[in-house]
Amino acid sequence: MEDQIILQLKGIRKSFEETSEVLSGIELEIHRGEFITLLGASGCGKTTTLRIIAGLETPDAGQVILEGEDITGLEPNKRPVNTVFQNYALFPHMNVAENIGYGLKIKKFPKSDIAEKVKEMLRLVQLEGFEKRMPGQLSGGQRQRVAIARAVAGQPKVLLLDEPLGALDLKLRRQMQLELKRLQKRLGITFVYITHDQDEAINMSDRIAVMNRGVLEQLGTPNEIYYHPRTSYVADFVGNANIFREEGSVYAVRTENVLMNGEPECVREASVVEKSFAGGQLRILFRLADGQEVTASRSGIDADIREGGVCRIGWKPEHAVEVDVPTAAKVCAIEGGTADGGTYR
Amino acid sequence: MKSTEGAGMKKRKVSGGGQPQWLLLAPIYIFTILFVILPFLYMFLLSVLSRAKVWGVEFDFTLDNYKRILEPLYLSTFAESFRLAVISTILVALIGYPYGYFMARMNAVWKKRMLLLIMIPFWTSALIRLYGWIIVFRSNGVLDKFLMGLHITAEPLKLLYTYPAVVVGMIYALLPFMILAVYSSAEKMDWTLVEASRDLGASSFRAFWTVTFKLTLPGLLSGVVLTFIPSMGLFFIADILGGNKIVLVGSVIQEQITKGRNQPFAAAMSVVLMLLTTLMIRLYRRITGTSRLEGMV
Amino acid sequence: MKNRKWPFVYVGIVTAVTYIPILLTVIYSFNASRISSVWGGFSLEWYRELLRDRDIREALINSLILALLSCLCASVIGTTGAVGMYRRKSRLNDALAMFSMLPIMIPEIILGMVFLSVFSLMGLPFGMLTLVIAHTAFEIPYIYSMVTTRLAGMDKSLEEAALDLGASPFRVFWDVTFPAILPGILSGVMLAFAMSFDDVVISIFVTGPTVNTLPVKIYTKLKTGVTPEINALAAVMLGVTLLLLAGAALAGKIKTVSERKCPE
Repeated sequence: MEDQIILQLKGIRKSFEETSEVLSGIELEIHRGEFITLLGASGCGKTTTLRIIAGLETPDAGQVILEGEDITGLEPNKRPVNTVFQNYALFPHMNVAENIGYGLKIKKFPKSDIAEKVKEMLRLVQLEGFEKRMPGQLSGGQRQRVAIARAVAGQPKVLLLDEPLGALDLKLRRQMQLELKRLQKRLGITFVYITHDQDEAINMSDRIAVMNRGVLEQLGTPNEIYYHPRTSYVADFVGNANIFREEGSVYAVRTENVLMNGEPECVREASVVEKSFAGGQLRILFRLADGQEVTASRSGIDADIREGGVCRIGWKPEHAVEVDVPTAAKVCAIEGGTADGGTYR
Repeated sequence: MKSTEGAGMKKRKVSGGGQPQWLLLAPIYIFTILFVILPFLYMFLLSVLSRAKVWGVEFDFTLDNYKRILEPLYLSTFAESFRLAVISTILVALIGYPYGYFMARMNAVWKKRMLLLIMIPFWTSALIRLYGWIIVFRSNGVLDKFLMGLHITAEPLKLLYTYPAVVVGMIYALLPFMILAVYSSAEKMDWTLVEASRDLGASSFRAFWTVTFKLTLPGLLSGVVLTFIPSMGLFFIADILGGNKIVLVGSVIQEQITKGRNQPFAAAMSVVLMLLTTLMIRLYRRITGTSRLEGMV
Repeated sequence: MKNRKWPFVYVGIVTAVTYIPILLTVIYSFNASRISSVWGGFSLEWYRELLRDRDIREALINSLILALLSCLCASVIGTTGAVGMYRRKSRLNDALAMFSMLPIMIPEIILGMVFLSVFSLMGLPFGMLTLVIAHTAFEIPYIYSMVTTRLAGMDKSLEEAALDLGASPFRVFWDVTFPAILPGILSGVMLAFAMSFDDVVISIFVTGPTVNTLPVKIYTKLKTGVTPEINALAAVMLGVTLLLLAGAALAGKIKTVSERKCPE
C-alpha cells in the first residue's frame, strides 16, 4: 500500500507577507496514477498548493515528499513534475514543435529523439502538422493542447494542471474534459488538477480534495463528496445543499431532495418566496415558519406552485446528512448508504 | 527557529535559488553610486566651498555662493530663464496639446505615419535643425524674402538674434516631447466615455472639458514637466539664435566653469536649478498622483 | 464632415512648419553661392568640401565610437539592473532606481557641471573616457525604463514554465526572459544612441581639448560663423536617418508578415 502513494504533503503552511495564512497545515496523500482534483473557490489556497508541489513556491513549514523522497527544498527545474499553466504560458517566440520539445532539449536529448517525441505528442493531442505554427496563430483550444503536450512530453511523474480549461467556452470545456480524462488513462500519469468548477471536478476526478481558506475540508471520491459531505462548506459548494441547524447539530439537504406536497414526509409548512428557471432546472425558494430559507430544485417546469402561495415541504430522513461534526468520527444520518449511492468505490 | 527559516525562504522568489542575483544588480549599483550619487553629493558640498585663489577649490565653508545668486545680476538671470521657460512651455502646450489629441483620434495607419513624421526631426541633430532656423530668420533670409514678397512687410525684420527667434527655437526643440506625452495619454483613453457624456446631454465642448481634458491632464502635465525642465538648461539655443543678448542660467553656469573657473558658484547655481526642477516634479506627482512621466520614453 | 477635416489641416500645418528648416538646409546644401540668402545655382561644392574636412570626419568618427561604447555600457548596466530589480523588489532597489533615473530628470547643464567638477576632482583625463562615462550615465535611464516596461508586460508564468520544464535559471533567462525583453533593449539602445549622437550640452563640459564630437564641432562652427558646409552635413545626416528608419520599417514589416496572427 505504501508504494501506492506517489506524492505526500505533510503539514504544509504558507503565508505571503503580512496577509493571513494561505495554507494552514495541508495533509494530502496522492496515489500513483490517480486523477485528483483540488476544488475550491478562488483564494482557497489550491493554486498555492499546486505551486508548492511544482517548487514555484516554498512552504513556510511542512514537507513535500515524492516517492518517499523529501523534495521540499528542491529547485523546480530539478523536480520530475510538470505544470500546465492557467494561461498556457507558451513561449511566444518559439513554434509549436520548439515549445513541446523545450523540456527535452534542456535534458539534452538527441535532436532526432526530440523530433520523434514531438510528433508523438502532437498525435496524442491531435495537432499533427502544427509543428511550425507560432502560438499566436493558434486558437485557445489548440494552445491548450500544446501546453498539455509540452508538459507531458518529458514524462513527468506527476502532472499539475492549474485550471487549464478556465479560459475556454463551455462547449470546448466539456470536450476537453473528456479528452483530458482519456489522456490521463492512456498515459497513466498522476494528474493533480485544479478547478473551482464542481461539475468539472465530479466529471473527471478519481478523488476530490475540497479546500476552503487554506484548509482541506474533505478528501474523497466524487460520490463521497457529493452524497456524504462532511462539512456544511462542502455540502454547499458541491451541489448546493440547504443547511439546517437543529438541536445543536447541522444538517445538509440537497435541493433536489426537498419534497413538496403530498409525500408523507412533507410536514413543514412553507411559503413560496421566489420561483426561477435556469439551466433546465426549476428552483423554488421557500421560507419556513421559523424564518429559515429552503431551496428546492426540480427538472422541468412545475406549474402547481405559485409565488406567495403556501405549501408543505419535507425530506426523507436519510437525505438529511449531518455535517460539521466536531469529532473526527463521522456520524451520518444515513449510515450504510441507500439507493441514492453512498456505496464506496 | 521555524519563523526565521520561514522568513528566509519567503524572500527567495521563483527563480532565485542558485542564481547570484547580486551579480545582476552589481553593475547598476556600482555605476549609480560612483557616477550619480557621489557626484551629486559632491555638487552639494562644492556649493558651500570657496574658490581657490589660483586654481581649484578650498575647503573653506561659506554660504557666499548662495548669497551671490541673490545679487541683481544673477537673480535677473534666473528670472529671465524662468520667464523664457514659462513662455516656451505655455506655447509648446498650446501647440502640442491639440496636435497630440488629434493624433490620438486618427486611425491606426495615420497614427503610425504621424509618429514617424514627428520622430524624423527628432532623430536628426538638434543643432542642425537650429541651423535651419538661422537660414529662415537671417536678415534678408527666407522669412524676410517671403514676407516682403507678399508685401506684408516693407523691409527685413532682422529676427535673428532676437527674443522671438529664441522662443521659436525652444518651441521647436521641445514640441515633440509635449506631443508624445499628450498623445500617449489620449491614446489610452476610453473614447466611449466621451460618447457616454454626450449621451447624457453634454455639449461637445462640455464633453471635452469634463471628460477628455480631465483624462488627458496627466499627459499634458507630464509634457509640461518634460518641456520645462530642459528649457531651463538649453543654453545653446539662446546662444545660437539669440546671439549674446539673452543670458540664461545655463549660459552663466557654463561661463562660470569654463571662463570664470568658479566651480563653487556654478555648483550653487546648479543646486538652485535642481531644487526648482525637483519642485516641478514634486508638484506633478502631487497633482497626478503618479510617479511615472507620461510618454517619457 | 467639415468637422473631421480641420484636425488634419492643423496637424498638417504644424508638421509642415517643423519640416521647413530641415528642407531649407537640404535645398541650400546644393546652393553654389556662399551666401545663403542668394541662390547661385546648383552645385555639389559643399559636399566636396565636407568630404575634404578632416576635422568633421574625425568628429564624426569620435561621435560614432562614443555612441557605440556608451550604448554598450548602458545596455549592459541598464538591462542587468532592470532584470535584477524585477526579480527582487526592495526599498533599497527602488531608491537606487530613482537615483539612476536622475540624469534625465534634471536639466542637462547640471549633469555637465557635476561631471566636470567630479572628473577634475578624480583627476580623470578629459577625453573619450570621460565622455563615455557621462553618456552612459544619461543613457542608462532610457534602457532601464524600456526594459522595465517590457518586464512588467511579460507573462511571469513564461519564466515559471521554463523552470518547470527543467531549465536552469540561466537557461530561463537566455531562452525566455531575454527574447521577451530584447525589443525593449533595442528600442532603448536606439533612443540612447540618438541622444548620445546628438548631445551638445554634456559633451561640451566633459570633452577634452583633443577630442571633438560632431555636435560639439557643429556648435563651435555655428558660433564662429556660418559655413554652407553645415548644410551639406545636415542633408547627409537626414539622409542617413531616413535610410535607417526605412531599414527598420522594412525589418518590422518582414517580421509582422512572418508572425501574422490568424484571426480568432
